[in-house]
Amino acid sequence: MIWSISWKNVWRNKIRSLVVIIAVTVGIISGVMIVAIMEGWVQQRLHDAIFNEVSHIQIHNTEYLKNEEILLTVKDTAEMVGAIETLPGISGWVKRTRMVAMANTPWANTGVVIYGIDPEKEKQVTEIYKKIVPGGGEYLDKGKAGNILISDKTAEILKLKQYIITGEVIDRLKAEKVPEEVLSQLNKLKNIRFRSPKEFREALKNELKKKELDSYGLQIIDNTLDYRIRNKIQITISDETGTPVQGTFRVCGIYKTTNGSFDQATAFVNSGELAGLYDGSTVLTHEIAILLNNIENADSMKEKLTVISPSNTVNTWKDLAPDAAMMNDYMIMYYFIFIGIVMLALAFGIINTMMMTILERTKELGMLMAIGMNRKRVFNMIMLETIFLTLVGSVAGMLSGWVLVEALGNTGIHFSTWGEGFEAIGFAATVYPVITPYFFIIITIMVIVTAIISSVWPARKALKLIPVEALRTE
Amino acid sequence: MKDDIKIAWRNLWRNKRRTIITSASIFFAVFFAVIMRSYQLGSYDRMILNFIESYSGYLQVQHVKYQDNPSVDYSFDYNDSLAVAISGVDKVVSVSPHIESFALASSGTQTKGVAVLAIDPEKESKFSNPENKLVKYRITKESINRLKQSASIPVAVSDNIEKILGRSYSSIARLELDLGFSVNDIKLYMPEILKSSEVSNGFLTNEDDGVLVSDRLASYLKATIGDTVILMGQGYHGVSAAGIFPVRGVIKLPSPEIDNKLIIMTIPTAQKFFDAEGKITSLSVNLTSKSHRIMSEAQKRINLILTDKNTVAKTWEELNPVLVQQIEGDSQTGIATLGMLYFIIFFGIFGTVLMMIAERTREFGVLIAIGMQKKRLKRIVTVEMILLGTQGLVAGLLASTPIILYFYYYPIVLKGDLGKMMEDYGWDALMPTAWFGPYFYWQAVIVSIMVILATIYPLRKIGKLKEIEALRS
Amino acid sequence: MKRKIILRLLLLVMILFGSKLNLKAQTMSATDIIRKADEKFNGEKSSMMMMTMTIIRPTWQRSVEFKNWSLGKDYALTLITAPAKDVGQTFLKRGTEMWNWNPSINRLIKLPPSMMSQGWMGSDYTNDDILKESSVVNDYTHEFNGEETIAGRECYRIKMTAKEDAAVIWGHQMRWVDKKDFLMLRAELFDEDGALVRTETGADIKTMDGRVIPTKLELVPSEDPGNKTVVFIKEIKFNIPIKENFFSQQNMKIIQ
Repeated sequence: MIWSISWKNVWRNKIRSLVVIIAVTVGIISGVMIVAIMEGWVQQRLHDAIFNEVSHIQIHNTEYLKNEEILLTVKDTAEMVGAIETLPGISGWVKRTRMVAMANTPWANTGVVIYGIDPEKEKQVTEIYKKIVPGGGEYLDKGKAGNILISDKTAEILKLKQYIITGEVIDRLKAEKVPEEVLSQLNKLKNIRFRSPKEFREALKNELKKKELDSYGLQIIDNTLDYRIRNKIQITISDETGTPVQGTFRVCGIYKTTNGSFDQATAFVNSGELAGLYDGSTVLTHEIAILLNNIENADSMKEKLTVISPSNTVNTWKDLAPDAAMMNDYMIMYYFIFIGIVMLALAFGIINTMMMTILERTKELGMLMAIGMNRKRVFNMIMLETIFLTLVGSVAGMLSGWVLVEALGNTGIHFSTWGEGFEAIGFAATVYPVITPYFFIIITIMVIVTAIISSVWPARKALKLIPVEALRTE
Repeated sequence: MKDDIKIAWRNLWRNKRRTIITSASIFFAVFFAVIMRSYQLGSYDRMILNFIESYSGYLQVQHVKYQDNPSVDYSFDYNDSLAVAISGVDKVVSVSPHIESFALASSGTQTKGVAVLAIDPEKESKFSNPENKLVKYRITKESINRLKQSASIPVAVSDNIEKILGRSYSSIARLELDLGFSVNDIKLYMPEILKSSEVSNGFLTNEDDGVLVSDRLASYLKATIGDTVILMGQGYHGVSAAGIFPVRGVIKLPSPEIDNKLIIMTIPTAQKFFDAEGKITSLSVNLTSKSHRIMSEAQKRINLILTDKNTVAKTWEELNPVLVQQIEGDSQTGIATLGMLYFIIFFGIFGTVLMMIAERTREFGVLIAIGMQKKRLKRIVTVEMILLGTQGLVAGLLASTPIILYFYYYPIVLKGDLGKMMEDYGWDALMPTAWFGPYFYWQAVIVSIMVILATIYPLRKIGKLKEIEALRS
Repeated sequence: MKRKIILRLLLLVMILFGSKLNLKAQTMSATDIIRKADEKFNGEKSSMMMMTMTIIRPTWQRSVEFKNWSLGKDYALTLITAPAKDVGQTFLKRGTEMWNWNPSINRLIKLPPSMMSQGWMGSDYTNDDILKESSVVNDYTHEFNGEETIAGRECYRIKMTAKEDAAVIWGHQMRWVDKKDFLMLRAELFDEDGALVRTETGADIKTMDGRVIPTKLELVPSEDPGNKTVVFIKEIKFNIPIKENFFSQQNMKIIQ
């Protein structure tokens, strides 16, 4: 019976109930959102680190890690491969040639690490093939010779990321509703080829007013961008005697990951062609990368693979990307602190409101006690009311929170202003919030517990009311 | 007006509980917001300070083109009088000259690209303090064997030590951390462990012609103290740079990237090597504070002192725009978090206000019925709200002050993996609070906004009040 | 009578043959011209040159003097004779390998790939240029592009387009080869997008050791106006008695 009374009480004072419900809902939604955003970031960094950069496990010759010389290939390859092919839990693996090289174009040069890969097999382990930029050519193809896949960053350094305002570009901008006067200014720069984003931006600054730049700048830059696909890059590596060996490759595609530092230093060619440069016949293996079915098995897999060869070093993603690993562990602590604070804030709000209602209802409560309802029952009744309110709020909060996270998880939240800063350390400028059911439940439980605890005091307050005095208040 | 305030005040204290609870909500919000923000900003400050004091300098004097083309060709003339002149500028704490460039280090048939950093050993001690990073202990096979033969070290302990075979240490604390010893273990075993793994080392004297080599580079080149290292490269205006340098010491740098390619030498030695007599590539300046006001003031003054029109003083922000963006982005996240906090509190306050209105509808009805103008009532209620807000605000600010003060001077020491990583980078693993700043006063603004918003409802209610109905409630 | 007919026939044959010979000279292909010019410059069996290289920049200038011995295309030894800071350094090229000896530190190193793009002695000629792995003849297709007079000499203007698989990063080059002595008086190097990257010119044509050669070679990079490198050939001796064993690491250390 207490249950039905409590329930009815809840709906008797709509405003008060609504306030508590909304407070609880808002509490849950904010907790969920903040945690989801942070988790989205962390997960993205982790995913990208593993699927673009380090995989779950990597094997190298121990000496190679100290000094990247061409002959320090992975030892006991036959045994290693044998083990990899029989061990369960592996979803994909590849062998790679890895060489430090200089890349040259007529305008610039830079150091890169060249990976000789089997493009098709790589798809089982990395997602680089999905990261080709729009207008940036295509991924490597084993059947197409003489190609090299470089990053947007490398293209920029080598001056292969150029800008040229052609008649076509102006037409496109016109179709996108860029005003005539801006277009006529752009005409002055027509057919001039700019070999770096910086140069182009400087030129634009000279021709356009600040306001025009702010509104149309990005659009103009996007449309004018011209990746010089099919241009040649000369690659110089050291062969086993330390003699420089050169080869030329044509850019087949431009990729871009969320990690600028990785991009800057990484390029891919067909391993057979790379072999053609240093040797001709044998494809050397400097690195074996493995993707597991379950990330949790990384450590045990590392142990199993380490025993196979004493000359190799097996590293997990935690060893290779310690920043991502640390963040994963460290974030949980942060979440709890944050949620804790939100709960405290919530507690105050609830205590506040419940206190109000108790005091408002002294007459009613006194009446109940006078007609024989014992204190314990009154206490329970009030607690139940709070629980009901909290439950309704929790359900509302969970649902809306979940909907929000799902929606934003699909579209992503854009942080364009600080995009460059984030991307330098491997964070995307767009974050996709995500929350595990585990956290969802934890947050909700914490909210409910907080709500209950914070109603204890008001409820006890109610009990201290002496019925006679209570009846006397007006 | 004074009467209104008196009435408002009395109204508040007529219902003690409600007043206290509402003020308490605001107090709580302000308190937590201030503390959280203070910690966040304090951490940034500390991180930035670590960075600029050990690496970048608050300001740097460089050739105007150096930032885009970091090569010895864009060096500038330097002599002690410039350092003295800049040191004399108000708020300047220390000045440290540097030459940074690249060279090839040679060993056998291998050549390896290395980064060359030239310092003034004396001035640098107040700056990045490389002397601190000298390797003092190294866990080698020999040292482990010695320990195994020692009677006082149990097998379990020496096995434990084997796990860190090959590592070098510049600080005892770090070694203890890696070994995972308890306080007891430390007393028992450390002295012996230290003795067996001690490595003799040395630093650079002011006019030294030798070099310090980073740990991994030293093992690659198989060079220790007393050996020589050969460096070659291109110097000023393309002149060939070549030299043989005795190794004076080995230093350990936390970042493996840097640890395998750093050579440190004195400035005169580098000037000779690069054929850039009398020149340096950058002059780092440390100030008393990194507040924008002090930095731009110092920047202006230094720029006036610089007679060479090809040189300019730049702030660390101008030199590290990417880092600035990162901090900004992170900071915004913190603000968003606070926003949510306040949002929740606001609902609590709103709830109270609703209750208060509901409870006092009759009272309002009576007042209006006996002749009080609605306008006056509104004024009184507004004053009540303002007083409520102010109470909570002031209490919150006052309560947070001692905490900020304490943790500013005695910050929390970070332990565990995070602490380790920070120590590795030569940073203090501390979490201090930030000194009072704009963020402190912003709370007042936010609370005021909350109060204003919360007041709207009561005012409207009063406006629509019909006395008769009110009297009946 | 018979003699007269034979003489006439002989005359006819001579005239026919003569004109055929003439025709041949006139129908030299663009490729042939380039080949001839290349051989002129690189084809001597051996040579010894004394040169001065001046590096010019907007705010400074520097000169380096050196002696250069070469054998065919694959062997070269260079000794720096001035200025004081660089004196005694030697560079040795053997095929695709390049070595550097520095007496002040008593050290011999092999140039690694990371140094290939660097300017030799700080100039606009890269170490790569000096190793000259590509061939103007084999890596390009050639076609006539008109005629032009440079310094009073009539030149063929030839357009060289890089072959698809050639290991060169230039898109195409324009070369001016003088008709009389097949000297390359000017070269313009373009990237694949058709932009001019570099201009090389030859001037001050003199006769040295019986050959006509340009003695002032200038390299101007288009990106940095105000930058250029000028090489003066002070003295040159062709076909000196020099063998492959001259180009050795030991010799690097003792050559004067």
